Amino acid sequence: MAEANVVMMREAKAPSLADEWSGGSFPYRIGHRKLGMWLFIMSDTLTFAALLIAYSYVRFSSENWPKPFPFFPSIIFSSVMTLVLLSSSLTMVFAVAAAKAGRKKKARYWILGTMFFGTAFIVLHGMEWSHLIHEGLYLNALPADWAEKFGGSSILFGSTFFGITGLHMFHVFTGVLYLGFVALRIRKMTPEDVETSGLYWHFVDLVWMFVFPLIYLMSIDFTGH
Amino acid sequence: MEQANEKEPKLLNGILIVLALAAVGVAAMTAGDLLKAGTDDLFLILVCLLLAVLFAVNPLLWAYRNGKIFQPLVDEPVEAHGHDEAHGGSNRENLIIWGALLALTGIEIYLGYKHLNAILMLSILIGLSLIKAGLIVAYFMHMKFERKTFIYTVIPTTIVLLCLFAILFPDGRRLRDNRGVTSAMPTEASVEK
Repeated sequence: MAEANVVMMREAKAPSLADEWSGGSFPYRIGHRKLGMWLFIMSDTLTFAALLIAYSYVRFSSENWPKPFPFFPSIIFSSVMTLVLLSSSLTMVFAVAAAKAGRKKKARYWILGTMFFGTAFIVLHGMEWSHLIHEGLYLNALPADWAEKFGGSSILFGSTFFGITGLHMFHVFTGVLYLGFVALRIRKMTPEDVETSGLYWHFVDLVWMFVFPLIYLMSIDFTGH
Repeated sequence: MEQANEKEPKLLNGILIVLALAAVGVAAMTAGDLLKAGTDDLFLILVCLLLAVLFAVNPLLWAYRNGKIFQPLVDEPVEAHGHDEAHGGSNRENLIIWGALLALTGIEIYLGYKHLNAILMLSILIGLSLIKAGLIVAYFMHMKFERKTFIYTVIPTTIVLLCLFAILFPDGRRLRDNRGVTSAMPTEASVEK
């Protein structure tokens, strides 16, 4: 850490590109863990983008596509889930701020709050899933009344829905585990470690900002109540 | 002697700039009647622009090294007490961002219940979501407060890679058009009936 300080002082005196990139310094001024997390987030962005583009492709090239989500329960549930995820991002921001201010206990409480919201998201989403499965939606089959209502629909609705939201839910789940690990060992964590876990959490939130409109809001059932 | 050393690069770089501008001019002239132009003209334009870049590289680098043009990659020097102070927004700022995100989500849900044309609706939703993503990355993920070098490494790379996915959509259209043709013919479903 002292060494890094010296390097930064030297850089501050002579901010020139040649010095920055000739080795022995920190061109990005961030630690290797945080850089690694950013690289992971970039690749994960592409994973989710590929899934969402595949969904758009299938929907775009199909004759018809089911629009099965009524106001209650689906849209209400997914809106509340959006609220929950956004709030969890806010508590995570507070956790990082507390960790940076050196108040680790406070940071732990904020992280526990974030984990609570994450768990709430998983529970709500699980209820939504079981509702749809109960209706008869499977990976390779639409419910019988949907097939009638939305004639010529692709049966891939189930695979895209469960695939995208499932991968997202898995990310939320691993995020909760990751945050639990950070909260458990908060004394050994540097502020940047807390920030790194926060980056992952915010990324999961960010992905939902695309999943929610593309999957739910583009498939609202107007004919119901 | 020193004066000659100052003048020489200026003169040579001036000549290079003139050549680059001439190449751009030829490209522009070719592009003038692009409407009837074919692939050959496109090729000619690209070659001219490439020549212009080649001519312009040296003067631009020279200007960059002498600090005559904006240097996007060099941050302002860090203050002495700089690095461990709390970079990033205050709690109040974060609360405002959170409120903005909630408001944008509310607008999205409201739009969901307006019977809009699907393409229009999709464009608005994607636009709003991109704004939300930008807010999250900039403020919650602290991207706004990182070094510019890092921002320029991560953001353009991701955007270019995401844009590459758009290559697939013309194929999706072709697939749909083909289905449209075949749907007039007996499909599996109608045969079963």
